[in-house]
Amino acid sequence: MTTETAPVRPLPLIDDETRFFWDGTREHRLLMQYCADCKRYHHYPRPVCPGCLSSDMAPEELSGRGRVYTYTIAEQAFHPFFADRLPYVLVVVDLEEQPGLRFVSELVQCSPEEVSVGMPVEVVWEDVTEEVTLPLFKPAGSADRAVQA
Amino acid sequence: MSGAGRRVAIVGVGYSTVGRDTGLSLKQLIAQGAAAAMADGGVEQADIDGVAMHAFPQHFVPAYECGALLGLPSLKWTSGSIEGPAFLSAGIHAAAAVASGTADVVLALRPMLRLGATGPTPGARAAGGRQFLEPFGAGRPAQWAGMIKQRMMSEFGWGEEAFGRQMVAQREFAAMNPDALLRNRITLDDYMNTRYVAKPLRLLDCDYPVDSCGAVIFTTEERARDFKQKPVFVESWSFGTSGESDFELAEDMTRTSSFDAAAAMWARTSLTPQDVQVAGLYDGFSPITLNWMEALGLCGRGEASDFVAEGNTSLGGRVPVNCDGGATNVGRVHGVNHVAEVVRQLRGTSGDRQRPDAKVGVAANSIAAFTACMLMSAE
Ligand SMILES: [Zn+2]
Repeated sequence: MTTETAPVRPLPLIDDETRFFWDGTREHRLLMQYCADCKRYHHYPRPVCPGCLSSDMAPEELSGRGRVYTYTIAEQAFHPFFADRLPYVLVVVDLEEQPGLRFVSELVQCSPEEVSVGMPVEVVWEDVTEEVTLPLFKPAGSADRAVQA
Repeated sequence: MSGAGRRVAIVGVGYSTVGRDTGLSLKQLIAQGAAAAMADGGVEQADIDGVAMHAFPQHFVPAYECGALLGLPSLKWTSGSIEGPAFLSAGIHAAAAVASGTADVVLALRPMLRLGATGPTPGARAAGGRQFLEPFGAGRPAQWAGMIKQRMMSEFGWGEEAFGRQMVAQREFAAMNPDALLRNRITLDDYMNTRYVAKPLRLLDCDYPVDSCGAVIFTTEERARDFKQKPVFVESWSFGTSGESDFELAEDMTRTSSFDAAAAMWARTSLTPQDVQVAGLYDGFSPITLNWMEALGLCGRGEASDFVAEGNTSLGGRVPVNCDGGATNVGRVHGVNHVAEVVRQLRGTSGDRQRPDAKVGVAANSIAAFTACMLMSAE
């Protein structure tokens, strides 16, 4: 339940280019554009493949597994929603499907002291609204714990 | 010289009032900054035939309007940019306009109003690429800087001291610079005891937001003789860009497009990294300063920590870096200071902060998605 004064998490302005991604997350599927011509994934969604300029790209489902490329511990909130969640862990995940295919997210179910570069992680879903589900990450293989909405 | 064209010289540098909450408007700041650079160089309104402007979109004043503001009624060339690597975005446009013969005397401006540590507007939806950052509580510059600092530490086995020593050295310079805003000397312990913004990024790794306008005047080698300062020559320059436009997605965070900009700059000159005696390296966040040391070849990849620890970048070192104190101490004039202090050093007018016999210097701005560097010489 939100009240008039409770800060609300920033939500995506879903557009024609990004709708497939958020449609996927709502079904707990991590989708990224895949170029049929040069066989590469791309993130963020874009109108043409930067590898070969093909527009023959379709969403493909990823495993949701990867490793931490780097991280930062947010110690200051720049939006009121995050003020009482400090500190929280932001990660850049190297997804396993392709070298250098990255996703920026929050690492949950992991204390700031436990995160490290190279750590295996996997996607975990946070249903924020009926429309928006966020792909967060947690340490790979750890038992799923309920995520604070 | 940077390829074909006329040899370019810098003949004037200056700042507006620089401070927090100056109460000055953008146009007041621009007028003050321009007047300071003109007075420094002995440049008259009638001399100027080009204006290059770089500013953030929310604080942008078109270059042609600056012409009208400053009594320059008939400019041959103007350029306004809201994108790219801080002041050098305008500085390189100005140098290129002079080199090409499009204009003879160009005023390059970088005005800004203090930006606080603001984030997205509560209630607003995150559009475009921002929708893959802001819902996660990501996307603020200090956060990607923290990510880059962490990656440098993990990949190179550095401690936070790598960055802290450079910040201590810069504050030492600032203590000798009457124009610096933060002038009390600090120790490595002081650095290690400041709070984290985005761990491992600390408050003392960040520049100091201010209201300001910095200005630099570029002209030809020939016209430079008409003005009062000993000219500083612009030997080479380049921009760099990368395959991802978001800093968080930089493919190789310990390299980035700064290495490409530097390689392109060095490819167009007979000077080499070993010739550099003084440097102004962007310090919006301290990891950027160390990245440029490596990008420019002042030291090897992964060696910036040792390079700083050995004293090379401090007062009395081989290549003193950010001898005005840097934007962490003179305020976020957004790259103008990195050019202006190198110019003063190559003129030999930096007083107590002077690197003895400095003949070659380099300035560099930004990291990752867009970068730029400019090589300067006294002769
Ligand atoms: Zn392709």
